[in-house]
Amino acid sequence: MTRCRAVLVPALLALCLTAWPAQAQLARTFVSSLGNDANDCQRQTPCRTFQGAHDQTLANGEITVLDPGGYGAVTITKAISIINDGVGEAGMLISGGLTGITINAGANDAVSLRGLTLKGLGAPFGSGVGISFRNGKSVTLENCTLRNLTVAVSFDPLFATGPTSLAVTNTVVADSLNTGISIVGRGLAMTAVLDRVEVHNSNTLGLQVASTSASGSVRVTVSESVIANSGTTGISVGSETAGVMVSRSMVANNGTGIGVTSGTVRLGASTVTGNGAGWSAFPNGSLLSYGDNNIDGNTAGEAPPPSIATK
Amino acid sequence: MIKATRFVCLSALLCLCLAVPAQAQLARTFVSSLGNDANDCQRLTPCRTFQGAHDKTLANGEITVLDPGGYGAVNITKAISIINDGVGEAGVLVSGGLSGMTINAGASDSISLRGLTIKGIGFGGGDGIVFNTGSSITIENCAIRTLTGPGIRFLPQGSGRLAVSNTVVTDNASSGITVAPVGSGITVSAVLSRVELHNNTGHGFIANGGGSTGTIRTTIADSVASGHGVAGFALSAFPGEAPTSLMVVRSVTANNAWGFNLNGGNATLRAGQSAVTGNTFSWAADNGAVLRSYGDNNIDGNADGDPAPTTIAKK
Repeated sequence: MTRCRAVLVPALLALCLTAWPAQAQLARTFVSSLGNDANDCQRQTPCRTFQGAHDQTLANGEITVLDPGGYGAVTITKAISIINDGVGEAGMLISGGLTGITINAGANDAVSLRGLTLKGLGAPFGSGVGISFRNGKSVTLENCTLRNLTVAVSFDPLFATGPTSLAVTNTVVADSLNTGISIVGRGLAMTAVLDRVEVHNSNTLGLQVASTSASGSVRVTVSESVIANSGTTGISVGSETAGVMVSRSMVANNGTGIGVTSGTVRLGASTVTGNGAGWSAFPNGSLLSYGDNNIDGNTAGEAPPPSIATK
Repeated sequence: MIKATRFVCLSALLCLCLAVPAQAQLARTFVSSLGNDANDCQRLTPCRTFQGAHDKTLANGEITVLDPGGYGAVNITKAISIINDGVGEAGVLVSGGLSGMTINAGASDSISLRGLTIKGIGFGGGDGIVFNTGSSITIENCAIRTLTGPGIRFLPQGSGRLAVSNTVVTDNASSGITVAPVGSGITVSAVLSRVELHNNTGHGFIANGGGSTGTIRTTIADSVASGHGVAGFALSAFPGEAPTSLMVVRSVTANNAWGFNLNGGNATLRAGQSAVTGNTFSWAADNGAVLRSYGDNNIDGNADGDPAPTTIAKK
């Protein structure tokens, strides 16, 4: 009984310190690998899974990771942040063709994911998709590692009713069974910004930019990034509304380095080397170079691309 | 007491349900410096060493580090990740001529090492990370220091891929990173980004085609090689050996005996937007080796008068 009081007092204190008193949902929730989803996700009584915490977090709130562990798949339906700032691995093992993090939020909802490690199990349990964005305003992905997944990041706003955006920084995507990062336009404006992203060893595509519609601009920038050892194509662009800017990046050892079947890729201060074919722009695609790229050491396809002026 | 016991049981059960059910091995195992290898490596009953956890982890599973400590050398024989995401040092001290991490995995197995600190302490020395067999290895956020052998020894006996990022390799009494595959008709690559190589006795980085035929393709971006007894970046590949190429961009090779040292007619290095400075010799390309500059490098302040390499055009 005395022990019970010792637990209750800090719990009460934590409640008072949170921004939204006397609510079923909290602005900040906590998860721990020693937590329990029957808890209220407060600091001293953390939840066990991301889904458990998500469901007890207010819109625009945050889930804070307390310690290393596996936190299970989550479907995000509101603006929320999931933050692991170096307490240890905040992991998620994905199997059976399922998806690790599904984002199906409202049109004005921004989602932030930080410091997560997602991994597909593979045979005999099957792998799955890492992060699948279907609806929402934006998702920001920082300091994450996604490995051994069929598709690591699927940014495909199938249910969106307005513009959407993806930002990925300081993130490693490796050993994807199919595609590393897939960006699919669905007829509405979208942007994707990749900075310091490493995509290694995708079986087919490293970065894919595609569309299912002839309308809706798809603007993608890739900077200070590495796309290497993709079985088919490093950067694959097949979207007539796509404009892709690749700057200060390395495209190496892929089947084809940059393949553009439709849309435009602009390439500056970047390196394309060690690929089967350096680049191809066919039949409707266009690759334009700022004239300052290193395109050498490919087996074929390394003629100078049509150039545009730096300004 | 009853309540506490029940709580522990419940939590353990929950962990069990989240992992793959009813197997001796787990998809996720845990190590702690307070753990015990007689344990089953679950969250509340972690193992003590990487090897203990490795042996109880399913193929394609993960080892999660719980707290700072030394976790011992490990022989990796399957696809696995060892992940320390900032809990403190996950260390391996190396001695007795052994290696910190040895990878002897299957031909389709991918390995990931993250957040590890591997350090030699003399007493017979050893290598840091040795890759013998497997499909690929991704090394992130690691520090590899003071070994008697190379920090990373990538010598796949077959096709293999090495990726290193955000990693420091310093003060080893051999080369920092050595790529030297063994086999016929194999394709090997090394992709380095944001790697710091300092004060190794041999080369900072060397790719050697001498043991293989096929292709060795290596790239280094946004990296630094400084203070090496031989070269910052080196290649060796003679006719009949695997053609070996290295692309160096936005990198620095400084204060070494050689900035670049290339040897043999099958060795090709291309450099762009990089700095070569403070070396005794800025570069050497011997016995038919090819060095090409994109004409935008800073090659100055070396003791040999800073000869300009042959240039190739940017595109």
